[in-house]
Amino acid sequence: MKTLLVIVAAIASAAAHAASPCDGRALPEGPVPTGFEQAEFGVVRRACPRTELGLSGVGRAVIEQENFYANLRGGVRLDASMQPFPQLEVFASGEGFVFNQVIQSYRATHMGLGDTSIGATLLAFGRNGFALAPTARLTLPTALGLYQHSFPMGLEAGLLGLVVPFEELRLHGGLLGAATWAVTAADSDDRGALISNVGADLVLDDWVSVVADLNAQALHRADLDRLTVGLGARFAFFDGLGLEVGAVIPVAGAERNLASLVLRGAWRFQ
Amino acid sequence: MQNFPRLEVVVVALLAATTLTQSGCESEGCLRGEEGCEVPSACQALAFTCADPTVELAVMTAAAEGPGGLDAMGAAGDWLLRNAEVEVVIDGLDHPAHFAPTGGSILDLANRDRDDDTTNHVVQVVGALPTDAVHYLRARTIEGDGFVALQLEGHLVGDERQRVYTRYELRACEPGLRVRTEMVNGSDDTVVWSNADGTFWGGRSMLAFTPSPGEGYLHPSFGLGTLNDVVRETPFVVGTSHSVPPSAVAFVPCNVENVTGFHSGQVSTTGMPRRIITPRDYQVYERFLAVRPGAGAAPGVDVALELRRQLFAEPFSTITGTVTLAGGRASSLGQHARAAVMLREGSLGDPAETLVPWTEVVPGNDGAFRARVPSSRSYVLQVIAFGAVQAEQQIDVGGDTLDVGSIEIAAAGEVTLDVTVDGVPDHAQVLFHPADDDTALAVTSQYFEQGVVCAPLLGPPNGGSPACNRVLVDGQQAIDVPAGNYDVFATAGLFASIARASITVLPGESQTVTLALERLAPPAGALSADFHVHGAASFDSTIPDFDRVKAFLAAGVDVIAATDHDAVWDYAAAMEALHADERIALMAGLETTGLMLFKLNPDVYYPQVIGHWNFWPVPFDDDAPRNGAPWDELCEPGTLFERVAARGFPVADGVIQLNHPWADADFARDLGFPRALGVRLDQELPRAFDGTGAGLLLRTPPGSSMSNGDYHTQEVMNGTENSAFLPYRAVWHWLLDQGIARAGTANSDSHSLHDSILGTPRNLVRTSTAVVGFDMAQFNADVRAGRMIGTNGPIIEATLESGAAIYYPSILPVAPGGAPALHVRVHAPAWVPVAEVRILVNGEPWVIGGDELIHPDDPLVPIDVLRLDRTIPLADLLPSGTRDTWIVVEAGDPLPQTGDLDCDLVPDTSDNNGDGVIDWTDVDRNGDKVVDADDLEGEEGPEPCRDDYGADSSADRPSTGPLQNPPAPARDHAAYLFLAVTPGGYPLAFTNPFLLDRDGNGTFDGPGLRGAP
Repeated sequence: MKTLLVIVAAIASAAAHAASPCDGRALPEGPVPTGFEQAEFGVVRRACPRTELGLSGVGRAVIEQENFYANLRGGVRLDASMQPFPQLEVFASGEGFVFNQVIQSYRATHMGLGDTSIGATLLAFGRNGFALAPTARLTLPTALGLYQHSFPMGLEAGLLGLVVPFEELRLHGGLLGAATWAVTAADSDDRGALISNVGADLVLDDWVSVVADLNAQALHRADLDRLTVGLGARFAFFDGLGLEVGAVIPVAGAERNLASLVLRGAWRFQ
Repeated sequence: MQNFPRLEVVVVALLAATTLTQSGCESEGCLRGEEGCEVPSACQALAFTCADPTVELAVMTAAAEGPGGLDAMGAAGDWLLRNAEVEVVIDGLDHPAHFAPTGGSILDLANRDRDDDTTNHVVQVVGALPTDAVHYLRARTIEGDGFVALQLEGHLVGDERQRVYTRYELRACEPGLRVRTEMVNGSDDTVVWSNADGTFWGGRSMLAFTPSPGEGYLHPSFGLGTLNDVVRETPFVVGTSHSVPPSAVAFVPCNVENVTGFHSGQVSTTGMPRRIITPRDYQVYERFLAVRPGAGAAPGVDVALELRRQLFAEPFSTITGTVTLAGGRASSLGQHARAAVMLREGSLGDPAETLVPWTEVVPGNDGAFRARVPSSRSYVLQVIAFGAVQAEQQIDVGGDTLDVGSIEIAAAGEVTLDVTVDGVPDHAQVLFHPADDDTALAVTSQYFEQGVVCAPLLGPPNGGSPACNRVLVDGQQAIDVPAGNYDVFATAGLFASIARASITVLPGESQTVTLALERLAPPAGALSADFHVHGAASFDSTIPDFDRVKAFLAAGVDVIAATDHDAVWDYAAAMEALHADERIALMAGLETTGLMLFKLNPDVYYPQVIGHWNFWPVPFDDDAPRNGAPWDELCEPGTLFERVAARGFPVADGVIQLNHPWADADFARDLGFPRALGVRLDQELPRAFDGTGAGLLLRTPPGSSMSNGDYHTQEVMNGTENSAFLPYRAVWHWLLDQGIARAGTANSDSHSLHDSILGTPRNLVRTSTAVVGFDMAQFNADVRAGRMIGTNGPIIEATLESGAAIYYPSILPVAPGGAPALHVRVHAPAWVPVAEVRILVNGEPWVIGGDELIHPDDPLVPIDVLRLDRTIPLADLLPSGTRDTWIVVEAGDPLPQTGDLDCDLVPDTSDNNGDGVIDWTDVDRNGDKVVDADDLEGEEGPEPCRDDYGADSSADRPSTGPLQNPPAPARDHAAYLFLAVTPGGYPLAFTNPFLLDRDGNGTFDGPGLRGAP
């Protein structure tokens, strides 16, 4: 196993040396980093590795007066990524605090830890303005107190991409397969999903950009779980600080949330 | 290389996690939904022994196989579980009732061989919405050593993937059921559940008793928006019946320490704590549902504490003592209102809202009582008599038992009522009223601080006689009355005199009160009838049949339509025992009562029901679900009419009645169909469905052969307290204006002895049939034709006369030729005031009052007094032109002044703040039944009216109400006599219309809406 990884890393390193689109910018990039499921399940990541520490406020809501149903969720998420060597990024994120209130005829609230995800991305190819990176992520049910008898988990794996036709435009995308299951005495209800993203960062200046995404997830809860549009604005300061604000809005599919919002700040170390 | 061990760790962790999750957790019960799964037995820590180890489960083939009781509804096809202690009926899967979309719920819960079921229904729920109920699909029986069980499988109404499995298990010797319900969220949605039992008490029936600070029988009111504020955690919940035969049910959790739920007179929930349930998660609730005989909460609390001792090692102590009377009839002890002992945890002097009521026990006839309470606590022991605390003391409970000795309470006076009608003992009703303010202050109370206010409280308001301040008598009747000065009134209905006696009741002394009534000649060629009557067969009544039939007889009503909620009943046994068949023609019927909300009205987003409808006659079949009534949920009226017809209702000869068309909603359920649809009386009713709510009123639902408009009569008067007359009348007139004629009726809608007086109001139907040899078809034909008046006292005889031709009011149009005249003759017993007569021509009143009417000097004289006899040329009344015209005659008091704050032309508000103006300052916004400055907080002025109140009309519509009758007259006022026997009502009568076909086209097309050209 060790040998295999060394070989892969060496190949990737060599390939990455020729005009890689991945650079050291502090400006955030990739898809708008917020979604609609447990932890970051279904949120496609950026292809380029970073060593970065980020803190986000996130929120989303289902409000259906006609069905007497509302599900309000907000929280604070800490995320970290590290490059043990330049082409490999290992990452983790956890919701340090989450507020979740569900309102039907009854109302119940959970406040406390949220869920966690861990994973890795390997920049397998990066030159001539094009990058390709396989990735995998595991979602863990660390929201103690929210889950009573059933602990859901998820695994996503797939390919991330970045194309930079010119400096002001960075096109990103990804295609992942996913599976979810639960540790439970009831039915685990194992499921699969397909997750995809295409999007673009328009770099207006080296300290500001805007992003637009089109995301789709299918087969997890419906033929089309959701088709969403993501929009965001990004800023960079002091050579390492990146800020972004974004929203992902469902436009089709079975998704009931009105939108998912994020405000994120991150410091890039490398 | 140094970096790779991290990767190795990750991979190993992944492999380990996969291995663990593939092995999974041990499954239990039916959580995985596997075919043939078995829900495990609940409450394993419990054990009971007895001499008789029998236990059985069978499918009933006849109702008689199951338990009896006031609310016993078991039918052929239901499941019966029985041991030496209890009998339980679970309704068959295809026998849905009340809030449940299918069977599979507890229908009857009784002590063995005692016929004491007073439980309406216990269903599994996760919340309070229609989608929170359970739809059961399959059932199977399980038998084993010393137990039988019924396992049901299904899902929540809202989502088939939210699976539910319930096991009802009865073991030998146990005083109830072990129940386990597994609910699995197999959907994609995060939800909030409380896996619970929803108990439908019904109202005026069993009372929920909870050991919660400041509560007991008293529970805070709530709406859907404030539900979460009233949810409580308690160690158990007890339901108590306050009629006969009494019993108590107890809900005790087994797998959690407390039950969580909300409570009211209508429903309670008892279950698991509210929790967010994510997809794939589940909730399991185990509990014991016990039933024990006896009055008060103590039978239920005693068994609950025994169960908790076994489940949670919680010790209890037994308190004993004796209540004695300082004089008077010792034999009156044992009656619930005469003396009850309440034990509340806390100290004397603590605020009431901090005391925790743990039990309530009714002493026996010898005054002895025995009750269990948790050990090692301090309690305030109170003896409550006639609704008031008459003795209290502090007790400290340490060991297993404590005897508190004798506790003396004040003596009451013994009053023997000796009532005669035409010189012989006969059925009558007696009402007690305080004769002065001091007595009123001393004796005004509520039954355990909740429900109706009584002065005095002679008995539980919803049980048999005596109830509240009323007593049914047949000759002589002795009762206990708290000390004070009283006016005692006897009545034998509208066609009899009133007898009055003023008495002083002294503690410990006896007296006889003689009250002599005389019958007055009823109108010839007419039968009096009440078409809206309830008894214990209704879910919201616990008046025993015997008392209900005695009330029929005391009211002197000739014809009764027995219209119990969602069940047919014929009172046969009580009718026979009282020989009532010789005096009353009883038609078994039905009141359908929508309980399951559904999307009805396209104009609003929220679900509704179609209101209440009466049908008579409907065949009574004791062995059929609901005694032959159809399932009445989730459909429009036209479809409902078909369902009733399929159960034998004769469409050609029977009567369908629209009940209380504009009543306030109750528990979020509309009671009147027109109001549910949001019709506006300033707008024409669509004759064809146009996609609006109003367009539903007359439409034929898809798939039905009957239209929503195929009803024959509409209530114009409902209830002795008649403040709702004006809205109901407005709807009736609005329909007449548009040529939509339905006969108007006047009914009591009596559910007990304390609410409406049976037969007040009533209908006087002009008919050729009589009670003896009653021709139901002929009678109902006369009802459908509107050949009747409605009255709570005044009698109106109105005719249109033209030469030899005489026309009577009805909904059949007439075209009198020549020079017709309206002849109006109004008379009434001397005790009925008639202050004015109104002749309404297309709703516009001609008022005859004051000196133009005859007013009797002495209301107690047993005579019928002619008040007006006048003939008016019709030409003097009719408007110009040839548009069809309707005429209705009314008599009684002047109508109260009202306002219409939401501009829909329905009276909705009276001058509630007494400032002489009806406006936005008269609205009771906070629902505390008092209009004061608190209701104006945050309000700056009147709310604007709109032509369209939109999809959330309840939020956008200006606040209105209440409509209140004028204040009661002083005790020395002549009109007080009427009010004394017609509580909350003012004198009122109306005729059905004369429909004048003035344009001669053979039909009545109506004059058009008011203001139409």
